Amino acid sequence: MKIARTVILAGLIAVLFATSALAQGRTPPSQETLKQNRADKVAEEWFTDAGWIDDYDVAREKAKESGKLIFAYFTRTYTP
Amino acid sequence: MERGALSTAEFREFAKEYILFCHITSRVEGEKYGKLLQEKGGTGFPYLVAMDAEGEVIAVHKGPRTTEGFAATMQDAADFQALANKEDLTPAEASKLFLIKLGMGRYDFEQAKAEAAKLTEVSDEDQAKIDDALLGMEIASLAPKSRGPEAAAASGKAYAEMMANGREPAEGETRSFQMFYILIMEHAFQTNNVALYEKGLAKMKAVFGEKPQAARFFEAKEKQLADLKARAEGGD
Repeated sequence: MKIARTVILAGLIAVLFATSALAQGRTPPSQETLKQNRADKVAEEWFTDAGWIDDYDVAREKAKESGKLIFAYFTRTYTP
Repeated sequence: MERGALSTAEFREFAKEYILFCHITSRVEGEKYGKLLQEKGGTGFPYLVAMDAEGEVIAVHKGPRTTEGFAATMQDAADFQALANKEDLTPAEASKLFLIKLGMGRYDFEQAKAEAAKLTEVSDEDQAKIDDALLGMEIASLAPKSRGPEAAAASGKAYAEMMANGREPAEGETRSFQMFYILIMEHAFQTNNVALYEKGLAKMKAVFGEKPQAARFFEAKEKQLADLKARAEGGD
Protein backbone atom coordinates (compact mmCIF):
# COMPACT_ATOMS: atom_id res chain seq x y z
CA MET A 1 0.00 0.00 0.00
CA LYS A 2 2.78 2.40 1.01
CA ILE A 3 4.79 1.44 -2.09
CA ALA A 4 1.76 2.05 -4.33
CA ARG A 5 1.25 5.49 -2.79
CA THR A 6 4.91 6.32 -3.27
CA VAL A 7 4.73 5.28 -6.93
CA ILE A 8 1.59 7.37 -7.48
CA LEU A 9 3.19 10.37 -5.75
CA ALA A 10 6.37 10.01 -7.79
CA GLY A 11 4.28 9.82 -10.97
CA LEU A 12 2.34 12.92 -10.00
CA ILE A 13 5.50 14.86 -9.27
CA ALA A 14 6.95 13.75 -12.61
CA VAL A 15 3.83 14.93 -14.45
CA LEU A 16 3.82 18.25 -12.61
CA PHE A 17 7.50 18.73 -13.33
CA ALA A 18 7.11 17.78 -16.99
CA THR A 19 4.48 20.46 -17.44
CA SER A 20 6.32 23.13 -15.49
CA ALA A 21 8.09 26.03 -17.11
CA LEU A 22 11.44 24.79 -15.81
CA ALA A 23 11.11 21.36 -17.44
CA GLN A 24 10.07 22.94 -20.72
CA GLY A 25 13.18 25.06 -20.68
CA ARG A 26 11.24 28.24 -20.09
CA THR A 27 12.38 30.75 -17.53
CA PRO A 28 9.59 31.46 -15.03
CA PRO A 29 8.23 34.97 -15.59
CA SER A 30 9.64 37.71 -13.40
CA GLN A 31 7.48 39.51 -10.87
CA GLU A 32 7.63 42.55 -13.14
CA THR A 33 6.16 40.51 -16.01
CA LEU A 34 3.43 39.07 -13.79
CA LYS A 35 2.53 42.58 -12.58
CA GLN A 36 2.47 43.85 -16.16
CA ASN A 37 0.23 40.94 -17.27
CA ARG A 38 -2.22 41.83 -14.55
CA ALA A 39 -2.14 45.53 -15.42
CA ASP A 40 -2.72 44.68 -19.09
CA LYS A 41 -5.76 42.58 -18.23
CA VAL A 42 -7.54 45.30 -16.26
CA ALA A 43 -6.82 47.79 -19.06
CA GLU A 44 -8.63 45.71 -21.67
CA GLU A 45 -11.85 47.07 -23.15
CA TRP A 46 -14.13 44.27 -21.93
CA PHE A 47 -12.95 45.05 -18.38
CA THR A 48 -13.13 48.83 -18.42
CA ASP A 49 -16.30 49.19 -20.51
CA ALA A 50 -18.51 47.01 -18.31
CA GLY A 51 -17.22 48.50 -15.05
CA TRP A 52 -15.53 45.47 -13.51
CA ILE A 53 -13.99 45.91 -10.06
CA ASP A 54 -10.89 43.87 -9.24
CA ASP A 55 -10.77 44.72 -5.54
CA TYR A 56 -12.79 42.29 -3.40
CA ASP A 57 -13.24 44.74 -0.53
CA VAL A 58 -14.46 47.50 -2.85
CA ALA A 59 -16.86 45.10 -4.61
CA ARG A 60 -18.45 44.04 -1.32
CA GLU A 61 -18.63 47.64 -0.14
CA LYS A 62 -20.42 48.69 -3.33
CA ALA A 63 -22.79 45.73 -3.03
CA LYS A 64 -23.68 46.80 0.51
CA GLU A 65 -24.25 50.41 -0.55
CA SER A 66 -26.35 49.53 -3.59
CA GLY A 67 -28.16 46.43 -2.35
CA LYS A 68 -27.08 44.67 -5.55
CA LEU A 69 -25.78 41.15 -5.91
CA ILE A 70 -22.19 40.55 -7.00
CA PHE A 71 -21.53 38.81 -10.29
CA ALA A 72 -18.05 37.37 -9.76
CA TYR A 73 -15.72 36.16 -12.48
CA PHE A 74 -12.51 34.35 -11.50
CA THR A 75 -9.75 34.37 -14.07
CA ARG A 76 -5.94 34.40 -14.21
CA THR A 77 -3.10 36.17 -15.95
CA TYR A 78 -0.30 33.64 -15.50
CA THR A 79 0.51 30.79 -17.86
CA PRO A 80 0.45 27.41 -16.10
CA MET B 1 -15.37 34.63 -23.15
CA GLU B 2 -13.69 38.00 -22.50
CA ARG B 3 -13.68 38.82 -26.20
CA GLY B 4 -17.04 37.09 -26.62
CA ALA B 5 -19.93 37.14 -24.13
CA LEU B 6 -18.31 39.65 -21.76
CA SER B 7 -17.71 42.16 -24.55
CA THR B 8 -21.24 42.44 -25.89
CA ALA B 9 -23.62 45.39 -25.54
CA GLU B 10 -26.13 42.94 -24.09
CA PHE B 11 -23.68 42.07 -21.31
CA ARG B 12 -23.04 45.73 -20.53
CA GLU B 13 -26.82 46.20 -20.07
CA PHE B 14 -26.93 43.16 -17.78
CA ALA B 15 -23.98 44.57 -15.84
CA LYS B 16 -25.96 47.64 -14.77
CA GLU B 17 -28.06 45.46 -12.46
CA TYR B 18 -25.12 43.97 -10.56
CA ILE B 19 -21.72 44.70 -9.06
CA LEU B 20 -19.15 43.09 -11.35
CA PHE B 21 -16.19 41.68 -9.50
CA CYS B 22 -13.27 40.15 -11.39
CA HIS B 23 -10.79 38.20 -9.31
CA ILE B 24 -7.47 37.78 -11.07
CA THR B 25 -5.01 35.15 -9.95
CA SER B 26 -1.76 36.68 -11.14
CA ARG B 27 0.93 35.01 -9.00
CA VAL B 28 2.23 38.45 -8.11
CA GLU B 29 3.88 38.18 -4.69
CA GLY B 30 1.71 39.50 -1.89
CA GLU B 31 -1.40 39.32 -4.02
CA LYS B 32 -4.43 40.30 -1.91
CA TYR B 33 -7.00 37.49 -1.55
CA GLY B 34 -4.74 35.21 -3.58
CA LYS B 35 -6.66 32.09 -2.50
CA LEU B 36 -10.13 33.52 -3.02
CA LEU B 37 -10.92 31.12 -5.89
CA GLN B 38 -10.42 28.09 -3.63
CA GLU B 39 -12.19 29.78 -0.70
CA LYS B 40 -15.25 30.28 -2.88
CA GLY B 41 -15.31 26.69 -4.09
CA GLY B 42 -13.57 27.13 -7.45
CA THR B 43 -11.21 24.50 -8.80
CA GLY B 44 -10.41 25.94 -12.23
CA PHE B 45 -10.85 28.86 -14.61
CA PRO B 46 -13.10 30.47 -15.52
CA TYR B 47 -15.32 30.29 -12.44
CA LEU B 48 -18.45 32.40 -12.23
CA VAL B 49 -20.64 32.84 -9.17
CA ALA B 50 -23.30 35.05 -7.64
CA MET B 51 -22.34 36.42 -4.23
CA ASP B 52 -24.12 38.51 -1.66
CA ALA B 53 -22.64 41.67 -0.14
CA GLU B 54 -20.85 39.60 2.50
CA GLY B 55 -19.12 37.62 -0.23
CA GLU B 56 -21.08 34.45 0.39
CA VAL B 57 -21.60 32.38 -2.75
CA ILE B 58 -25.31 31.93 -3.35
CA ALA B 59 -25.20 30.44 -6.84
CA VAL B 60 -22.54 28.87 -9.02
CA HIS B 61 -22.99 29.48 -12.74
CA LYS B 62 -23.28 26.14 -14.52
CA GLY B 63 -25.29 27.07 -17.60
CA PRO B 64 -24.26 28.54 -20.93
CA ARG B 65 -21.63 31.30 -20.80
CA THR B 66 -23.89 33.85 -22.40
CA THR B 67 -25.61 36.94 -21.04
CA GLU B 68 -28.87 34.99 -21.03
CA GLY B 69 -27.21 32.19 -19.08
CA PHE B 70 -25.63 34.63 -16.59
CA ALA B 71 -28.99 36.37 -16.15
CA ALA B 72 -30.68 33.05 -15.32
CA THR B 73 -28.09 32.30 -12.63
CA MET B 74 -28.41 35.78 -11.13
CA GLN B 75 -32.22 35.50 -11.16
CA ASP B 76 -31.97 32.19 -9.30
CA ALA B 77 -29.65 33.85 -6.80
CA ALA B 78 -32.05 36.78 -6.31
CA ASP B 79 -35.05 34.44 -5.92
CA PHE B 80 -33.09 32.31 -3.50
CA GLN B 81 -32.08 35.33 -1.44
CA ALA B 82 -35.64 36.67 -1.30
CA LEU B 83 -37.21 33.34 -0.38
CA ALA B 84 -34.49 32.17 1.99
CA ASN B 85 -34.94 35.30 4.10
CA LYS B 86 -38.72 35.13 4.14
CA GLU B 87 -40.65 33.71 7.06
CA ASP B 88 -43.85 31.70 6.57
CA LEU B 89 -43.36 30.64 2.98
CA THR B 90 -46.48 29.71 1.04
CA PRO B 91 -46.51 26.14 -0.32
CA ALA B 92 -45.77 27.50 -3.81
CA GLU B 93 -42.81 29.54 -2.51
CA ALA B 94 -41.48 26.55 -0.58
CA SER B 95 -41.57 24.48 -3.78
CA LYS B 96 -39.81 27.22 -5.70
CA LEU B 97 -37.10 27.59 -3.05
CA PHE B 98 -36.59 23.83 -3.01
CA LEU B 99 -36.25 23.72 -6.80
CA ILE B 100 -33.72 26.58 -6.77
CA LYS B 101 -31.67 24.82 -4.10
CA LEU B 102 -31.83 21.59 -6.11
CA GLY B 103 -30.55 23.47 -9.16
CA MET B 104 -27.74 24.95 -7.07
CA GLY B 105 -26.66 21.49 -5.97
CA ARG B 106 -27.29 22.22 -2.29
CA TYR B 107 -28.58 18.72 -1.50
CA ASP B 108 -27.33 15.21 -1.98
CA PHE B 109 -29.90 12.64 -3.08
CA GLU B 110 -30.97 11.56 0.42
CA GLN B 111 -31.31 15.14 1.65
CA ALA B 112 -33.29 16.06 -1.46
CA LYS B 113 -35.73 13.18 -0.94
CA ALA B 114 -36.24 14.17 2.68
CA GLU B 115 -36.81 17.83 1.81
CA ALA B 116 -39.18 16.94 -1.04
CA ALA B 117 -41.26 14.85 1.34
CA LYS B 118 -41.84 17.93 3.53
CA LEU B 119 -43.44 19.93 0.71
CA THR B 120 -47.21 20.35 0.64
CA GLU B 121 -49.63 21.46 -2.10
CA VAL B 122 -47.09 21.18 -4.89
CA SER B 123 -48.37 22.20 -8.33
CA ASP B 124 -48.33 19.58 -11.10
CA GLU B 125 -45.69 21.62 -12.95
CA ASP B 126 -43.38 21.86 -9.93
CA GLN B 127 -43.97 18.22 -9.04
CA ALA B 128 -42.88 17.17 -12.52
CA LYS B 129 -39.69 19.26 -12.17
CA ILE B 130 -38.99 17.84 -8.71
CA ASP B 131 -39.59 14.25 -9.87
CA ASP B 132 -37.27 14.75 -12.83
CA ALA B 133 -34.53 16.30 -10.66
CA LEU B 134 -34.79 13.52 -8.06
CA LEU B 135 -34.67 10.88 -10.76
CA GLY B 136 -31.52 12.48 -12.16
CA MET B 137 -29.96 12.46 -8.68
CA GLU B 138 -30.96 8.83 -8.15
CA ILE B 139 -29.38 7.88 -11.47
CA ALA B 140 -26.19 9.68 -10.44
CA SER B 141 -26.22 7.96 -7.04
CA LEU B 142 -26.38 4.56 -8.77
CA ALA B 143 -23.60 5.34 -11.25
CA PRO B 144 -20.65 2.92 -11.40
CA LYS B 145 -18.22 3.45 -8.53
CA SER B 146 -15.35 1.88 -10.46
CA ARG B 147 -14.23 1.29 -14.05
CA GLY B 148 -14.91 -1.89 -15.97
CA PRO B 149 -17.84 -3.73 -17.55
CA GLU B 150 -18.95 -5.41 -14.30
CA ALA B 151 -19.53 -2.13 -12.48
CA ALA B 152 -21.21 -0.69 -15.58
CA ALA B 153 -23.52 -3.69 -15.91
CA ALA B 154 -24.40 -3.56 -12.19
CA SER B 155 -25.51 0.06 -12.58
CA GLY B 156 -27.29 -0.93 -15.80
CA LYS B 157 -29.18 -3.61 -13.94
CA ALA B 158 -30.38 -1.06 -11.36
CA TYR B 159 -31.42 1.30 -14.16
CA ALA B 160 -33.25 -1.53 -15.98
CA GLU B 161 -35.25 -2.15 -12.81
CA MET B 162 -36.13 1.53 -12.65
CA MET B 163 -37.23 1.40 -16.29
CA ALA B 164 -39.34 -1.72 -15.64
CA ASN B 165 -41.13 0.29 -12.94
CA GLY B 166 -41.83 3.11 -15.37
CA ARG B 167 -39.18 5.41 -13.91
CA GLU B 168 -37.14 6.81 -16.79
CA PRO B 169 -35.39 10.18 -17.25
CA ALA B 170 -37.06 12.73 -19.50
CA GLU B 171 -35.71 12.74 -23.04
CA GLY B 172 -32.91 15.26 -23.35
CA GLU B 173 -29.22 15.67 -23.95
CA THR B 174 -28.43 15.25 -20.28
CA ARG B 175 -25.68 13.25 -18.65
CA SER B 176 -28.18 11.20 -16.65
CA PHE B 177 -30.19 10.30 -19.79
CA GLN B 178 -27.08 9.08 -21.61
CA MET B 179 -25.71 7.15 -18.65
CA PHE B 180 -29.09 5.54 -17.95
CA TYR B 181 -29.58 4.02 -21.40
CA ILE B 182 -25.95 3.28 -22.26
CA LEU B 183 -25.55 1.26 -19.06
CA ILE B 184 -28.90 -0.48 -19.59
CA MET B 185 -27.52 -1.58 -22.97
CA GLU B 186 -24.33 -2.81 -21.28
CA HIS B 187 -26.41 -4.81 -18.80
CA ALA B 188 -28.60 -6.16 -21.64
CA PHE B 189 -25.52 -7.20 -23.62
CA GLN B 190 -24.06 -9.08 -20.69
CA THR B 191 -27.35 -10.84 -19.90
CA ASN B 192 -28.22 -11.68 -23.55
CA ASN B 193 -31.37 -9.55 -23.38
CA VAL B 194 -31.97 -8.49 -26.99
CA ALA B 195 -35.31 -6.78 -26.34
CA LEU B 196 -33.86 -4.63 -23.54
CA TYR B 197 -30.84 -3.71 -25.67
CA GLU B 198 -33.14 -2.64 -28.50
CA LYS B 199 -35.22 -0.51 -26.11
CA GLY B 200 -32.14 1.28 -24.84
CA LEU B 201 -30.81 1.81 -28.34
CA ALA B 202 -34.15 3.18 -29.52
CA LYS B 203 -34.20 5.69 -26.65
CA MET B 204 -30.67 6.86 -27.48
CA LYS B 205 -31.51 7.16 -31.17
CA ALA B 206 -34.59 9.26 -30.41
CA VAL B 207 -32.34 11.94 -28.92
CA PHE B 208 -28.94 11.51 -30.59
CA GLY B 209 -29.75 9.53 -33.76
CA GLU B 210 -29.51 12.51 -36.10
CA LYS B 211 -26.27 13.89 -34.68
CA PRO B 212 -23.28 13.34 -36.98
CA GLN B 213 -20.89 13.17 -34.02
CA ALA B 214 -22.88 10.19 -32.67
CA ALA B 215 -22.69 8.20 -35.92
CA ARG B 216 -19.71 6.08 -34.82
CA PHE B 217 -21.35 5.37 -31.47
CA PHE B 218 -24.50 4.03 -33.16
CA GLU B 219 -22.46 2.08 -35.70
CA ALA B 220 -20.67 0.30 -32.86
CA LYS B 221 -23.90 -0.30 -30.97
CA GLU B 222 -25.65 -1.77 -34.07
CA LYS B 223 -22.73 -4.13 -34.46
CA GLN B 224 -22.95 -5.08 -30.80
CA LEU B 225 -26.69 -5.69 -31.23
CA ALA B 226 -26.02 -7.95 -34.22
CA ASP B 227 -23.46 -9.88 -32.15
CA LEU B 228 -25.92 -10.14 -29.30
CA LYS B 229 -28.67 -11.45 -31.60
CA ALA B 230 -26.31 -14.02 -33.12
CA ARG B 231 -25.23 -15.10 -29.63
CA ALA B 232 -28.84 -15.34 -28.41
CA GLU B 233 -29.93 -17.33 -31.46
CA GLY B 234 -26.91 -19.61 -31.13
CA GLY B 235 -27.74 -20.19 -27.49
CA ASP B 236 -24.21 -19.26 -26.35
